[in-house]
Amino acid sequence: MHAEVMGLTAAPPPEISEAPSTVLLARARSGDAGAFARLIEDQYERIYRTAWRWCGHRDDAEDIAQEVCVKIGQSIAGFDGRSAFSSWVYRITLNSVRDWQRAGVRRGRHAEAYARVSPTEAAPDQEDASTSRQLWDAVRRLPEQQRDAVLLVYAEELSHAEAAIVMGIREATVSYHVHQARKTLRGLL
Amino acid sequence: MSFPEDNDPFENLKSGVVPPPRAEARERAMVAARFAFEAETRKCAAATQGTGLGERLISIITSWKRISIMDMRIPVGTAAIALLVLPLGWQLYSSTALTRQGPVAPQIGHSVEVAEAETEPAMATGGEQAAADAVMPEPMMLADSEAGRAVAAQKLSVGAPAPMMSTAPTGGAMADSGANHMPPSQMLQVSGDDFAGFDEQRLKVAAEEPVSTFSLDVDTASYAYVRRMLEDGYVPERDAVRLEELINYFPYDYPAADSAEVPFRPSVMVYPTPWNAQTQILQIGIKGFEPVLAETQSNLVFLIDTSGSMDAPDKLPLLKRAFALLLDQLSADDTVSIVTYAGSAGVVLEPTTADNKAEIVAALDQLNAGGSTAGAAGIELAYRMAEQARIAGGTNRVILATDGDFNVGIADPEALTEFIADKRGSGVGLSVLGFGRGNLDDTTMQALAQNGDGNASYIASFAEARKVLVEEIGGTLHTIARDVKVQVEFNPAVVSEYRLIGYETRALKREDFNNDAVDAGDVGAGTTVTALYEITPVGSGGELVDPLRYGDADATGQRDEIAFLKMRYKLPDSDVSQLIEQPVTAELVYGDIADAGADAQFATAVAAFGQKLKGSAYGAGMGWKKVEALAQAGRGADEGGYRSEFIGLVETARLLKPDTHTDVCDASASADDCD
Repeated sequence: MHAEVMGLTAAPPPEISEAPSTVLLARARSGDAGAFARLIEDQYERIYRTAWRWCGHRDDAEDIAQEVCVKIGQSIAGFDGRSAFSSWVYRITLNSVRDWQRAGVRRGRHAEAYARVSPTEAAPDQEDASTSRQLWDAVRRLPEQQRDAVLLVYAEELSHAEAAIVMGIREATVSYHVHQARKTLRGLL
Repeated sequence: MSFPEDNDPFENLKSGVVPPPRAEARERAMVAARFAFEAETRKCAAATQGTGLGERLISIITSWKRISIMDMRIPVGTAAIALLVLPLGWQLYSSTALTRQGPVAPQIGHSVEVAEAETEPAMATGGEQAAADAVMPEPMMLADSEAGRAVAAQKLSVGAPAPMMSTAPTGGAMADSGANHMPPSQMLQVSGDDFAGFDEQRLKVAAEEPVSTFSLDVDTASYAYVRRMLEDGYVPERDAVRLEELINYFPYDYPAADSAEVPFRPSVMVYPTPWNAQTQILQIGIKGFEPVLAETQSNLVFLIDTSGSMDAPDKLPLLKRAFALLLDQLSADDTVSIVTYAGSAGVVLEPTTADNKAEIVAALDQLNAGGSTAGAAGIELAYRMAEQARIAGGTNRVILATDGDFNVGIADPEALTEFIADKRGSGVGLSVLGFGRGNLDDTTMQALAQNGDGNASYIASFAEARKVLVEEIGGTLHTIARDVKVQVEFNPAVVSEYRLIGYETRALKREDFNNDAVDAGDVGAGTTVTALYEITPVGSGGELVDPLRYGDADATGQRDEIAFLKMRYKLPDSDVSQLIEQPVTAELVYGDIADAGADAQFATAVAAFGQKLKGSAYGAGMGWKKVEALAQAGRGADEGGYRSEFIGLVETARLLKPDTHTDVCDASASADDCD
């Protein structure tokens, strides 16, 4: 796996998905507003989707996505191509999510405390939906590193190596976080 | 829910459906991004003219030279070293007998130094990123060593107080190691709630400023908020603690007025201050007249926030249940309408008589949270509904239920409050119910309710909903006196200094008292309101301000009156204020607080609690144990159990914000010796 990571320098970085073309990217980096507009429009869906998966609120996800788009606009000229563009976008998105949540905005920490006050909204026949919602809630409440690892690997369907690049940690550490998350969740669910 | 070993629970995450973003949000983001991009490009163009090519070239070279994985090894390595050294250092440090037995504060200072010393080499070798990594080491490194874990947690808690919340699941380790050396009081609350700042009432010299004027305040939101923060284990921020709202949360047993014509009469007492032996408390209490509820008619418009942020169990679902409670209080004489605001405003229920409970409940049930908040459009619609179903001579009121979001629509809070004040003039009031935490815009809530002649209540639980919407429904819906102002003139011959406890945000100018155009607080049916002054009698030795050397030496005057109390109020349907006057004479003075009754003891206990909690300059010397004892003594019959709950809260506050040892008798170890 290390070979693959090292390979970054020799070969073009692995394209994860929906990556912009090199030409478009280069033009945007050199200050072509039209190219940037197209680039960001291509990226928005994915950024929003990631943000939603991390925070679970449409309002929050939209706000975060907007913030990410602004950050990309501000710093795309400095994007050095050292990692894949998509990893770079992930990194910005994850940082924004973290900042957003640290700012204390709607963290959902109290969901549990008030579960006894209000019954679950899902009807009994929607067992599947509520189970999956419970799972999502539990994952979102994991410690940040574990949550990031799990969501990158399972929800975003990245390989452990790709997730490692996004998170700026070693691949083995990603596997460790996923493992820890599984252990934590066994207690939670 | 359990998972068999062979079935990976996370596989389910793949099938998760993401609701699509709204087109306008997308458009907003696009515009913002393009704008940021262009601004940046312009900036770069200006800065790098002529050398742009060179700069780019350099960045390409570095990108070929530096291999990303190598970049990462440096911080990982330094972090590992830091983690090896730190447990050793910690071991040495914590096994030294001298430091272990020392007082708390020096230990914190010491541990900060340790953490800094350890991160310093990392900074030197690895640059910024290394430092960041060293402060927050990868749990990977800690897997094998419990000691390392504890240290990591320790480092986190010392180096970065902010991530406390996010590291909650490692709390076990943190609590273990934290118990030795970190008082939990350092846990500052981290919330997105917004409170207007204010300075505490300052001490005034009676000879210089004998007159104190303020508006009554019947809001209780601050207490509910403080309680919730404490129960969650946080010390609320200073500005969230409004003393008068804490005191007024509790019902007191003041004599009620006999008729709606004179809707209340003040009861005044003077008794010793529990936290200062040299001063006295002047307590002014009123209880509003209570009309028979069945004889009143109400036209209520529920204006419900259904924005995305309301989608939490303690918000919209709680709100639905709360309104169902309120509905049970209403009859066929009353009408109810429901308006929502979420992206676009909509009428969910046209004015309907309250005996059609099934219909109203069905309308409530179909509400769903989602969308952004456009509060103002909803407010306009709600007032139109209220006009449509107006009951002459009855209560016409919009009840706004929100988690505090007013960021779209009439974004300017002043325009919004003006709108509400205008509508109040036409006879439709506004009350605000606040829900949830983390997004609450307390300032706007207060401003809207004050301008709408209503009150702002904060509903954190079902029990709170019951208190506001069932037990105190009269006060919430029926105003018996408007613009109630209080003016106290102290007699400088008797009182040398005085200080109003709380009411900082309600201060009025002296000349405003007689000006009927100046808005003030409103009193609802059956509500009790209490105001406390801490007064320093002349010659008690408790004066904080030195007397003037060249001052008027003989402040002779009549000495039989301590102060003179004046209150102004307007009857609900009148624009001309009425005056109540009453001298505070020596007959009202009690030598012992116990003689003044349970209410006096309890009110001062709440005041002491609030002062301690917000780190006031006054009353800090009174230990939590004493506050608790005082509250116990003042518990009285305690219908509803609010006072008992408060006593529990004092205990929680004691743990979260331990006494600083100004009063030896309050250190728990020596408590027995001092009684």
